[in-house]
Amino acid sequence: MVKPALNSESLRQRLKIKHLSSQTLLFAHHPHVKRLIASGVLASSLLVGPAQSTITHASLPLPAMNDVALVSSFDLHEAIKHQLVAVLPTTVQPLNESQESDISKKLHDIYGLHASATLEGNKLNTSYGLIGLEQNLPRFPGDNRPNTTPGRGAWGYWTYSARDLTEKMVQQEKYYVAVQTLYLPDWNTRLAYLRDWYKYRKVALVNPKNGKIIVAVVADSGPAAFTGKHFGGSPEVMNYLQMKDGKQRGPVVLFFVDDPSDEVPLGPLEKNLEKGPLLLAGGH
Amino acid sequence: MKVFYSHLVIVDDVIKELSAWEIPDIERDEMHKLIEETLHHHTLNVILNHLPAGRHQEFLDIFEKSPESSELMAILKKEIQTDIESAIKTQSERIKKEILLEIRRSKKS
Repeated sequence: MVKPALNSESLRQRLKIKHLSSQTLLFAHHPHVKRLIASGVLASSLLVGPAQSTITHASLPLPAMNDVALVSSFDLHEAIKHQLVAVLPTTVQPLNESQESDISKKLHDIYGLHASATLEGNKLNTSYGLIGLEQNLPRFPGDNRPNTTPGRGAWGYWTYSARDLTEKMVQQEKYYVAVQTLYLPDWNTRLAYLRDWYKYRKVALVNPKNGKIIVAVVADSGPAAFTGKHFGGSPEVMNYLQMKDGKQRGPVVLFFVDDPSDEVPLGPLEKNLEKGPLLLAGGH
Repeated sequence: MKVFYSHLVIVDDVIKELSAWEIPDIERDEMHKLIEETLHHHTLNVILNHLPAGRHQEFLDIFEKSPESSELMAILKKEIQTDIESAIKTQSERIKKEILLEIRRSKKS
């Protein structure tokens, strides 16, 4: 009987992508297993039925690990989540320089993002703290959307007229955070400089519980220390990070994004910025 | 060569599906290799995600020397509170399902 035909080249390519994806995911989570792959332990050990050929792995023109993008946002989230487990303390507390540096490297390796706890000599009192839900901020006088604070944010209105509201302003308010600038040790002595430096400063927030990461801007000051929280997040930020534990708060890593050319988009980060589009959509 | 979890990651159904199609032998062999290694990667990922980081080195040392050793599963059962065999099976079934779908998608129309 004649067997039906298959587009073998297409299948081969699909299987290669799956293979590459699984290897990338494994190495991202557990880089110490590379030696097993190299030693051949994981080769030809499951198939016991059909005759095996002696085809070698070298015949597959797979790119090197460092040239590969992770495969889906799920994989990215899982990768950073597992990496952070090894770095973060079990309780929310300020991180030491080694921990912060380690996290910066992981954010770059996995997301292609340049982010750090200290930027241009500026540093918050903590880069790992509890974030709570904030309301929307009024972008201009009379901006009466539901769930909007009656007062302005720490840096005032974005504009004084709805007609002058730009898409950039809309995005900044949509993805904003509040940080405790008022408790910085040099806030009062360097007020003019720090006020300008923090205004709409781009930050990246990671929920270590699910690995979700979002880029936002600093647009308000707070919350007050007595709340026990260290950061505040807009409804969109909190919704994406899935901070829905009933108390509307949870632990988060917050780093400054080093983005002098303003190229990193605000909002959820679901790809590696330096490695381009995902290799494989879906699958999880 | 077998590994200690071979009995949990059964690939016969994938191989059977692949054998039903007309594929040059050399490509079929390459596909077999890709499929089995993909399953290995995912299985090892599941195992190491569950195993406490402090035990990874010991586990990997034994795995490298004796991949079929029953001591490996004993370590997993001792160190992991959840049902690791079930987790391995579930993940491998999920990946196999994806691979089977890829094979069917590649049917020439």
